[in-house]
Amino acid sequence: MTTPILTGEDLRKYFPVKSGVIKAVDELNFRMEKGEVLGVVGESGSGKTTLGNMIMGIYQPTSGRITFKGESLPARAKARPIQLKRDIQMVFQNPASSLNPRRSVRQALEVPIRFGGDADSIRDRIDQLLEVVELPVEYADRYPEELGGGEKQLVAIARALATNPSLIVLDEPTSSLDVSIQAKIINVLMRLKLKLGLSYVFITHNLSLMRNVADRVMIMYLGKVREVAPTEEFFRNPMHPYTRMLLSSIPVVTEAEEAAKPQKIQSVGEIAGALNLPPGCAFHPRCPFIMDVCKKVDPPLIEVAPGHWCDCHLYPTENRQTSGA
Amino acid sequence: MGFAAIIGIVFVATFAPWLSPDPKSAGLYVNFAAAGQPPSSVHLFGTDEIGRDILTRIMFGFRYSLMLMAVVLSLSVAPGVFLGLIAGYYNGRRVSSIIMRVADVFVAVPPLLLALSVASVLTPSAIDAMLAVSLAWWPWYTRLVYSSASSIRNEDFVRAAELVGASRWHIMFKEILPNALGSILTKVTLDCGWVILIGAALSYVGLGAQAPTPDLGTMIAEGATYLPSQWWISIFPAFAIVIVILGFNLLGDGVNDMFSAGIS
Amino acid sequence: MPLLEVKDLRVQYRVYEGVLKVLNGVNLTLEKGEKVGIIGESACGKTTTVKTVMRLLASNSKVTGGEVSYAGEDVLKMPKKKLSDLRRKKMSMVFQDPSSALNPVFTIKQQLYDIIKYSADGLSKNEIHERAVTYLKQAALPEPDRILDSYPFQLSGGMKQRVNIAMALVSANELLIADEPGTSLDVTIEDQIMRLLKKIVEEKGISVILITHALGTVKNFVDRIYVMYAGTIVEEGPTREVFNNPQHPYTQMLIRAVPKLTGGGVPEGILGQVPSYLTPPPGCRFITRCPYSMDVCDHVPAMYDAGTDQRAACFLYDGVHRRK
Repeated sequence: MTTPILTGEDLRKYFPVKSGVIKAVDELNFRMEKGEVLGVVGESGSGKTTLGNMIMGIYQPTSGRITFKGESLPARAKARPIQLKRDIQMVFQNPASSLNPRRSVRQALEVPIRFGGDADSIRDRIDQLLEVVELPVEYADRYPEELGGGEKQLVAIARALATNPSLIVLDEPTSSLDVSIQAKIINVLMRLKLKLGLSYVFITHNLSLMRNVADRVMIMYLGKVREVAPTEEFFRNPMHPYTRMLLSSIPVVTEAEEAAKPQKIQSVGEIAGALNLPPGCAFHPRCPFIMDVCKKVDPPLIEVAPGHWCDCHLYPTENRQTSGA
Repeated sequence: MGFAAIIGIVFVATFAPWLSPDPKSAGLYVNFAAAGQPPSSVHLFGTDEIGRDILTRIMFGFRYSLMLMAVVLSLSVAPGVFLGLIAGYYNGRRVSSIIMRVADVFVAVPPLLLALSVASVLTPSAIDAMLAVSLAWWPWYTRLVYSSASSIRNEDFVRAAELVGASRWHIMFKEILPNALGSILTKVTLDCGWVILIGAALSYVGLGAQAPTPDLGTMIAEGATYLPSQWWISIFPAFAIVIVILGFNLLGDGVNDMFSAGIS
Repeated sequence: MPLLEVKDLRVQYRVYEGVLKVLNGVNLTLEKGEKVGIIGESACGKTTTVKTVMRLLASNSKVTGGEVSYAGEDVLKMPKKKLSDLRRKKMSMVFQDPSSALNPVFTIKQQLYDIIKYSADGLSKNEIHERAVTYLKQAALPEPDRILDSYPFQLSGGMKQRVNIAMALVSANELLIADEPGTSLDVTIEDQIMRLLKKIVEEKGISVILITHALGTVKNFVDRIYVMYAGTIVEEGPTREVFNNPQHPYTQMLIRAVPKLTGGGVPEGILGQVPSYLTPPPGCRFITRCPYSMDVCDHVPAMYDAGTDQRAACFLYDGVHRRK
């Protein structure tokens, strides 16, 4: 078994606030192999962005650790040696704030190149980067306001690539783009992954996209992983009630997709505030399959089928160990 | 907006003493024969109590005012902005709090008062007036820049620069500062007017330029005793101050528009 | 007579760089009780169209042609008082961002009461309160009294949007325009909101124009669809037909560009960019990205019959030209 490129071990991130504690991420365990696209899916409050920020070192875990290429990852980005910092990069959600409006594309791309020490042929490197994200080389002298949303994202991707990273965290990279442009960006990302052997942590709420892009899908709800499985298995056999609720709610376009959705679970209730989590399973107020135990005991994440993990009291009912009241 | 720029330029043009009708009036010059004359075709703004042409003195007064403005702003803007950048970048850390509290202390004292106290301790002179005003001025820039910098600091593009290992100086000067430039320049243009006003106020109370240097404030003070009969001695310099300030205000508006248009 | 008729609407905006000729002859009808959707990507003119209907356009805009009639009366030339009546009692709009429609410094009570007060004359305080509670309940909001006393920041996105719906229901007795109502909400909440909206409008027989760029959202909601691109309607037809059998090349490519839940890999997307409104192409505006463009596309295509009950603005359907 090769060393996974990224793992999370009992990760927790708690934010103390006046009226209590927000458990943004709680008891999170995951692993990711090299060359994989791990789709991290969730709605607001799920903790997916917090997870991304912890990987990048923007937030420090309250407890638990992250390992990268087998070594423990220093929690603060500032504490990481520069080579390590450059090995993990991020593409942000909002193309408009991703690029400094006062700097041209060339100036924006110079920054990662210059600070990496390989400053010999900046010009060539910039041209190379633009080519690799399929943007015309002439764009180097343009300013962000002259670029469309999709083009800005491509520049952001080029910037992330400038440091030759092994892992890129993509935080909703196409959510604010039009559908016709999303496809282009995703295509570029997938081609790059193959060509450069990259691994992606792809954070999104768009399950349809993950179906076509991710190797494995991890669903988060209120800070915890609810289900994780390889893509095909995930969509063929969604187990967690929340997953099925999500899948039922996705607006789809073709009749074939409608038919492929799991039996409709109507979404009810509000997404509970992360502040006052209900006891037991945090999803129980909205769950149509609620049982008594759900209100008291938080279900552990169990491997229900090979590679397919789920935390729900429904599975498997027989050989379950209660983790104590 | 361009209109305002023209007004600003007109003042700069008045720099040249070559325009003035009677250059001798700017210096030590006494001509009691022509003293106390109301505005006429020879002396457009009249003459003062010792016979100097007022128009000329106003023109030279402009030179002094503009020089004061340039010196004060150079002395106060650069350090103020620099400190503001640091405070904004390190927002939440001790350095930032220290800088801002020091700035608060200076801001708490009314600028004129501060300038007065400093100027009265030192021997009254033009240079000391400039120094005094500069001391009162820098914290406003620190505050302004701190406010911009602390929010720009959290933008994704700054995060991205940090993640690739950019040095903090690069981030402060190349990433944050260009975005704060709009408000800085607007303030500078508006301040031009204010500095001139304060400089005139200092001179009015005798702590600025000394006689016989023509200075708008001094001229008003000297002429005050002759009001209202020889009104032109005070009124014209006062009017000149108004025009300068108005001009810079309009220019400032224009600068502001220019930068806002770019952002949206 | 249709409730709303937009004929050959042309609208432009004046900006620093010149004139943006956005709407290029938009035609739209809405019958009483019908639900119609306008789909299109950003800046295609869908919001401009409905803002023109409600006369909410910005001051730098100008209607340069066409007409809008509501229940047979010309909206664009309507006197202010009549327009105000229309807005207070007949039509209303729900906007995309739930927060921006609510004033953050006033409680919901203060805002909702105001709307109710102006929607009908001579209501007593009690009556206003009762109506407020009724509307909130209709919008599936639990504990209406608590909501009334809350400030917007105390409510979640879904709840705020439901408050907006309640506020719109006060005056939208005949027509409700919803501009991307679920876009900034989580998927499960959006699903709830759309189902709620559907139930309400069907119960009350309110006509709806739903605007969105999310194809899936509109599919389950409206009876008929208008597809817009660069300020023109390119296709129109019953929802089912347009989705299952799109006629216009843009609609076809747009549907293909959506990643499918059933798999199939990453779609191709549509190469190229939307043309600039400053210098739009003289004829069909999709010409720069259309794989089937012909010489005749330099002229503006009319809406030709196509498919089943559909119409498409494409010369491929004029009976003369055909695909190569």
